Formats: sequence, structure tokens, C-alpha cells
Amino acid sequence: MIGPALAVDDLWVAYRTRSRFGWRQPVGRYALRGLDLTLERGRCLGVIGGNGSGKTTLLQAVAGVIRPSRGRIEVRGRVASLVDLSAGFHRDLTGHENLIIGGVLLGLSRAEVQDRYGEIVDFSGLDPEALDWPLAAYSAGMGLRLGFSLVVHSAPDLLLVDEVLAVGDDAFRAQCLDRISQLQESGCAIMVVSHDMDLVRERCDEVAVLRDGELELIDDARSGVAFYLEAGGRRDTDPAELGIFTHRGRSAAARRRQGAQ
Amino acid sequence: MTGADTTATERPVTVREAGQRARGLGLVEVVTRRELLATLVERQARLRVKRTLFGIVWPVVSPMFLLALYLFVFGSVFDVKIHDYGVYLLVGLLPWTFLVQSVHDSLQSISFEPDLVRRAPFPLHFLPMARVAVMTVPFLGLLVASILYLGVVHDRGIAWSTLPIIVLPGASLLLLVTSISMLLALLDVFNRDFRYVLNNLLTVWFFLVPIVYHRKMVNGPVRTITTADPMRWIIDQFRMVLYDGHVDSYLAPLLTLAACAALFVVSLQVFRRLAVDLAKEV
Repeated sequence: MIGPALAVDDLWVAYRTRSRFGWRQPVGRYALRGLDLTLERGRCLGVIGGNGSGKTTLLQAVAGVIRPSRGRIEVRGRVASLVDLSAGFHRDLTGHENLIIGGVLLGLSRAEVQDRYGEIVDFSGLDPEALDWPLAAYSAGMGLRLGFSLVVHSAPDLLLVDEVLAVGDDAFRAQCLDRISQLQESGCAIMVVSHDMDLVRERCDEVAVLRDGELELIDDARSGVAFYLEAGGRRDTDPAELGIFTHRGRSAAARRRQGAQ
Repeated sequence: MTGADTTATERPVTVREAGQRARGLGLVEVVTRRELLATLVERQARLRVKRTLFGIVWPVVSPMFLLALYLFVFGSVFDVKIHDYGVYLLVGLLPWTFLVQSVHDSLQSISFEPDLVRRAPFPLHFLPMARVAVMTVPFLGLLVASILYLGVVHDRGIAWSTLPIIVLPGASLLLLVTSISMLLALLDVFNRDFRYVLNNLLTVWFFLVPIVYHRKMVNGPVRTITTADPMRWIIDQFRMVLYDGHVDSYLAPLLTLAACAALFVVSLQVFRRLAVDLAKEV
């Protein structure tokens, strides 16, 4: 039996402050607190929540660029992420140079990038001549087209997308969503962070609602979005619930809860 | 082209846990992920020549400029009594300028690449390593040009039979420079003070290493300090081959290489131990 594409078990991620000299301080903030979730192959999970709720931190932890402070993440297969518009591209390098380097960073070999090069450029819809321009000459939308095209052609088993689709025009957005559906049908699991509730409702199988770094609810898309919107769609972090800790392993909120018991 | 293959029975599983540490010495991944390292080197080389008329030529100009300057100041004004002072200076300045240029270039190699660091997990020490690798090209070009100049044009000539020994101090230099570059690149992520004092520290180090003077010209504590300095030994060994033309013993070059290799392994471990969650810092 094939296991889930993603299994997150009691995930905590802390950001610690640093002194002026660069030393870590025993004070910080939990961006994620005790998250548990599972994502099966071929399923799409929407992650919604207010600003500072921990959505991007969750994606970064799953992508492997930050380490859990506590807990465990298990990923089956290759992860590809598009968590910011720059897609890791360098403004001074041409589109072509960025594609090759970005592809190798995603875990492809140079030969694989070369093999898929035509497909990537075709999907991006960019004029092949534009591939010789430095990225600085690209609009945000053009950069996104190239970044997204590369990511979806990297044969991911788990695709992480963070709000970036909002930048593309309607036609490219529709093309991206079709591509995401194709990937899903082929067994790729998708995790989408978005504030676009229509998109989440229509495209996601499940929704995880985050608040103050905690998983408030995980349910089917319609129920999850409805739950989120009931609070007016704005569930920004409550300053009193920032998850500030002064001792390793205990958040201020946890101590308050413990005190109340 | 589609994504994951539905017919696949199982995919490799990656586990990330709190407190998880990098396994092994990290030397194997330099080999197993050589394509990534090579790509980062290529990226750095391409960036080096962007928006500049002369790009890769500047690292060659710098030691030549210093050579002319120091030759005038110490050779003419202070009249340092060293035979063939121009050659003596040239052979000392070659490894030194490689160190300075590489360290300067690597210092912000992680801090200035937040997009790359947040893009995907990869060995971040590849970033300073790529910078050092790119700086190695003009260094080797200048070294070969100097050897040809000394061997073919200059009256002094060169002892061709001892020339292969230069591989030993060359490897020591590369390991030393890579070690320092990795550690400084990491330090710069946490504390930016070094950007402002690096030049001063390198100037002090420059005058502690016998580059413009002979090591026998200094006595007392300075001599003791320079004895413990690997750069002094490396420059001495470059001079043994290119200036003296004879090698008395292979022991010193081999010991220096062993010490620099040990320093490299230790630096790599320190880097891998501390370079956790840099995506949170940059």
C-alpha cells in the first residue's frame, strides 16, 4: 500500500530572536504550534488563515527549507514549491540561464531540464526570444509564468503553491489550474495557500484553517471556507496569542492555559 | 509530461524532524551533488561577468596593481634588501590576493541570496564554495602566466623539476580559503559587523605574513605568530618552488596540506551544524 504524500505530526516551528551580536535569545515566537495533518496522493489541500497564521511557514517547513522545532514531517517523493514570485530566479541572469539553474535546484538533472526545455517554454507562453533577456526585463507576470512552468514540469509528487497565481492574467491562471488538475489526476498531491476563497472552494478537496499557528479546522472545502468566512474572513493573529515563548518548549499561551487549569 | 507516476509502487520518503542533524562529514555530497555544485559555479561565473565590461579580468588586475605599488614602496622607497624583489613579491602576492578576493566575494554569498536559500533545500555551503571556485580561475590563469614568464622570459628561469610540487601548497591554499569563506559566509548571516572590519583584519594579517618582507626580518612574538599562520607556510612553499627553485623537504608541504585538510573538515562540520534554518535568518 502506498502511503500518503505528506504526513505532518505535531509540527512546531519557532522563530527565535537574536541579540545585536547575532546570538540566539531564549525568547521567540511559535509560528506553528502542534500541527497534525495528512495529505493523500492526488488530493488538493487548501490552507487558509489570516496574516501571521503560519501558512507560509507551513509550506516552507514542508518544502524542507526550515526545520521543525518539534515534531515530524514525512514527505513521499519529490517536492516542488512556488512560494514567492521570484521563484529563486536571479534578475541579472537570462530566462534560459534561470531555467537551467532553477531546474537543477528543483532536483532535476541538466539533461532532464534540457529535455523538457521546449515544453517548459511552450507552457509559459513566452516568446522564445524573451528567454535571452535578463529577468530584470520581465514583468512580474512573465517571471511567474516561467517559474510556474518550470515547477509543474519537474514531475513533483507534492506541489506547494503560495498565492502566486494572483499575479498571472486570467488566461494563464486558467492554464495553471488545468495543469494542476492534470498533475492531481496523475497522483501528485497539491497544497495551495490562498486568500481567494472561490479558488479554494472550487479546486481543493480539503481545507485547513490556521489561526495563530494552530490548526483550527480541517474539513471539506465548502465547510472549511464557510467556517473561515463566518468570522468575516479576517482572522488575523491576536497579539495576545502570538505564541511568544521565553522558555524552550512552552508558549505564553500554553502557560496561561496551564495556569487556568 | 505529467507529474507523479500513479503506477509507482513507492516513492522515496524524506523525513524531517526536530533536532535532526546532517549525517556524515559532508564530503560525499560534494560528489553526489556535483551537478548542483557545478551549476552554482556556472551561475556565479555568469553573474560575475554581467553588467561589467571586464568581468573576470578584474581579479587579475588587482595583484598586478598591488605588485607595482609594493614594488615602488618597499623596493624603491624603503629599499628592502631581498634579491630579485619583484619576483619575491609576485610569488607572495599571488596566493594572498586569491585569499583576499575569495573571502571578500564569499562573505555575503548566503546573505545576498535569500531567494535561493528559500527556494529549495540544498547544501548551503555550496554557495561560498561556488564563489571560491570561480575565483580559482583567474588565480590559476595568473599562476600559469607567472610560471611561463619566470620560466621563459625572465633571466631567473625556473626549476621545472620541482614545479609539480606546487600542487601541494596549491591544494592547501584552496582548502584554507574555502574553510575561511564558508565560516565567514555563515557568520555574516547572523552578524553584519564583519563586513565593516574585514578589510582591517585582512590588512593586519597581510603585514603579519611575510609577503613584502622576509620572515627572518622579524623577531619576537610576531615571529611566533607567523609560525602558527598557515598562510605563511603556504606562501613559503610557493616561494620554494617558484623563487628558490629547490625543495629541501616534502615534510612541510605535506604537513601543511594535512593541517588545511583537517581545518576544512572541521569548518564543514561547524557550518553544517550551525547552518540550520538559515531561511529564517536571511
